[in-house]
Amino acid sequence: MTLSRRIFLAFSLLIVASHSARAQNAEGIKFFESNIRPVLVEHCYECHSTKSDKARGGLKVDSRDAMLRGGDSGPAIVSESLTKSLLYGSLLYGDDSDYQMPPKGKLPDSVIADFRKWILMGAPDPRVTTINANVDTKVDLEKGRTFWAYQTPVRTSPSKIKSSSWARTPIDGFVVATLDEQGLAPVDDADARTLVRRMFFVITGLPPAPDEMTDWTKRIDEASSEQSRQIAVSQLVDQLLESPRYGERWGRHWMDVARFAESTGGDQNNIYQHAWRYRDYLIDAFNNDKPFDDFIREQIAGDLLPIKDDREWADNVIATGFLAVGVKLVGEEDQQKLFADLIDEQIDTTTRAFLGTTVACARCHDHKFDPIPQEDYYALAGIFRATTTYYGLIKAQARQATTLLDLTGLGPPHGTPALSKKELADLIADRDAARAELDEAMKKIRSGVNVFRGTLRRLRSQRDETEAALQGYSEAGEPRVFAMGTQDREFPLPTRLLVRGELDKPAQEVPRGVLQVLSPAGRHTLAARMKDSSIRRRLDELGSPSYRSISGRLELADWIASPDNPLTARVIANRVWHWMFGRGLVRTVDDFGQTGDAPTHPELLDFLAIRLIENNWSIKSLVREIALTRTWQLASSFDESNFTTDPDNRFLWRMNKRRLEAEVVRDAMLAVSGQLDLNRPLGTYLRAVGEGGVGQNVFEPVIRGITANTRSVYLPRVRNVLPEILDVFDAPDASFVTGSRETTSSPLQSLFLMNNPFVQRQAEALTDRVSKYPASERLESACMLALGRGPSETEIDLAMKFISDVSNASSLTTEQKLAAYCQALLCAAEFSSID
Amino acid sequence: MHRQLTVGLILLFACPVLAQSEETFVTIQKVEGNRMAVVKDAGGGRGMRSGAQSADVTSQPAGRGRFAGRRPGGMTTAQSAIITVPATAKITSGMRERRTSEFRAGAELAGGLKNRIFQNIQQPLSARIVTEGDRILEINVITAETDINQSNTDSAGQAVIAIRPKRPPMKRK
Repeated sequence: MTLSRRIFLAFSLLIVASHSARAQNAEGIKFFESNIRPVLVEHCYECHSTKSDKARGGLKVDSRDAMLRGGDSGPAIVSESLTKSLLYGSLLYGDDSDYQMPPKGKLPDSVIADFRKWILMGAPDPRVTTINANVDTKVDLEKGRTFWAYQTPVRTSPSKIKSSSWARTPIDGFVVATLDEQGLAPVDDADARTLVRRMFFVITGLPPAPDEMTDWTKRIDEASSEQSRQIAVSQLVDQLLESPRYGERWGRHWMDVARFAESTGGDQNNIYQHAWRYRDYLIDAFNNDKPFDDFIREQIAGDLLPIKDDREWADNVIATGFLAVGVKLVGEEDQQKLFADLIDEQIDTTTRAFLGTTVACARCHDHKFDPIPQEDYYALAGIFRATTTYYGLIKAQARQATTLLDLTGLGPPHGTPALSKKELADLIADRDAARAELDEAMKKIRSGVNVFRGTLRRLRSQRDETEAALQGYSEAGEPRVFAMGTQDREFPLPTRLLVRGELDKPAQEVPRGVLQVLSPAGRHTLAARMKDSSIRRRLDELGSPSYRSISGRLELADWIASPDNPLTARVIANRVWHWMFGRGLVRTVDDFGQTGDAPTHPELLDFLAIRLIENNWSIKSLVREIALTRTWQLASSFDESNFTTDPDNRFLWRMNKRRLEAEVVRDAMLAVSGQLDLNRPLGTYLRAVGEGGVGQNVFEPVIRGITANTRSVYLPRVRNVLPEILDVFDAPDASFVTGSRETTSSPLQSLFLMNNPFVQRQAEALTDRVSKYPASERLESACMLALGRGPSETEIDLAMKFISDVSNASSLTTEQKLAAYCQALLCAAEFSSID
Repeated sequence: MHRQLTVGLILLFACPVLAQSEETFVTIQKVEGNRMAVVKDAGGGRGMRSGAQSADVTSQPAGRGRFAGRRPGGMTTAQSAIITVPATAKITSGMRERRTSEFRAGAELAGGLKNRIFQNIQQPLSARIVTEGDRILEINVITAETDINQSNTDSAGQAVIAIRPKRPPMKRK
């Protein structure tokens, strides 16, 4: 046979083989579609599919890859091997009841035969990832840009601000103009006592001590003119803003927004041992009056900001804990799903916290109400996909653990005391023992001895936990400094829009960028923004010329923190107003979109936003400016005529009477009982609890058993395991951004106040405190301490009757009755609310 | 000339024969640009099911060797091949499940083939190549270093629970 004939023969054979393979493939797919897929959908998807959000035994059967990958027991399908295909084995309903599927009953023999045939065919399955057609948006961006919140704040000319003898500041001018429009009249000013108590609670979260109350009340009351009264008030405001207690109070506000907690929440709820550094960063940032634009940059891109020294570097890295402390499903098997959910959580928190915008709604489709196309979500996702998030945990305890960031030697304080030589030796011994125990178990397995799977898991967990504990210290026993935070990847990841947000339905590639509705047309991508000389100049001012981040986080942070962004200053000004008044000018503080409320005083909101920017984004200046308004100093008294027109006090004809937040109620109890420890604790109280998941490695009663007399902001903040007093009084669970807390009133609160040992201990301590006074002054001093005022005559009569009533059937001593009286004061609605 | 054309045609038509295969276990020897020198794992890699599919990765350029051109059972000869990785391919880390040795895809590797693990290959990297027809969909690479953020061991096998962050530039004076 000549060479050319041989080639011709080979060529012909190949063509035949090729066509045969295609035909077989098509036939196999047809067989799958008609005989296999319907059975899987009907009998298996309920417990093993992405759509049902279930993967029993770690198995999903809704994609080819998932079937081949299999679950905890191994691959569901092994092409052409019936014995190795666990799915087939389970259909046969063998002796092992764990491997009998579907659980509702054995399938007909004909169906099992189909599966047999299909596996032997090579298990053809068309359910592989393909690139979908481009998804177009129907969002009308031009129309969207006309919405009030996306317009640049407008400066109201001072001449247009209503002048009135009533108004003390321009803010009052805006308020009184609206009151006039609505036919409302402001109520009287608050009395000095009410005002002082309000100021202390709003600015520091603590009640005034009796001598402070007396002193400031006197100074305000005795002011000879309105001007001197304002001077006295401003002195008090300044003193309170300078107090370290201010940062604890306002840092706690931001923790609600930043959904700060010290555990992952979600499926396993593993403890974050290092989240406290971000907590302390927030408190310090508020105390130091860090400009809010810097505050934004540090939380989103602190790790990328140019630095002046190591300490600044470490603090900036800690600030990025903002992106790391959210809820995570660390038991998730699919790393890519975890990553997508992590990014979703970061986008949601970042956009709601700083922009009052719910961008995460556009993960699966265009936003239903706001002008945010799905592409915008993935433009932001591209930025966060190019970011690595470090949140820690131990691999043996959480399937999706990460490393932490090591800041040892850069300046932040240690979170744990140093170890003595003996303690270090013990730790090493523990680690070695755990290793040896695991090695022993592995030896047994290798020699054929069965070791219970749970035991093996426990031993691995022990080894990793002791190893991690040891790595927390240097060889000399000095604690190392770890933090949660973010870092840029070495390269950005290409990001595709996902149809319906499903990982296996990628469509067009989306360039990284910011929201289109807040950008000039066609200038929303990072690449386009970098062509803008003003943006380049601003970024250059941050650091060395041409310094850019790989991820685009620095550029994102700068876009959010820009004075040109119409939302940022408005959103934080509104938050400050909300924290001062109990309600925002926009009631929906986290949603400035179409479904949120419109501002009751739009011009005032713009005025506050512009003032904030002009004052170098100083939150303290804004607090001061608001506290000095006549509007904020109004009484909370009732007025029937005003109430008829504006029952909800939307137009600020009086101050809102409100219940204090859970942390403030607890702190106030400790403060009046004299038990409050004002020192910041070292690190976190959770250090004593250890690593691991709640219910697995650490236990709820142990966490709840932690007692401390420090301020509530330092209490352990484990998701779903909040301290009882915080839980009862509506502290948020930190699952997502909570700019405005719920305020409920329930019998549980009263029962808690009457029966909880913590409250009883504070009442006893308050009794001890007032017992130092002469008997005749005890009632008054107790009332002064708890409520900031002396008792009325009626109250004295009632109290005296209670204490001196010898006919009382109970066997309480006078001291015990005084303690009961003190507890009654702590239970009073007046104690836990401000006028 | 006639002979080269014939060989080219054979290779062209041979591709659909290979199109049944969808995952292949390989060892990556070298990466340059978007091209990768790989050797198919004998036996399909640790834990790979017997009788598993052969791969359908198109070797490029034609005539420079190929792998994955064998029917099941013909995997004993390790042949080196140069493959071209399309820009759309997803490059991820990979791992074997500790207990079952099953393969699992991990997180995407930033930069794809520009990722540092490909730039300085000290020793061959085990990987899985997932294909559809003649198109490479995914390459999942097993390397301890790639998932340093998701495990507590570094490339040397030592436990790591924290890494030093990258130092940003100093502020301008």
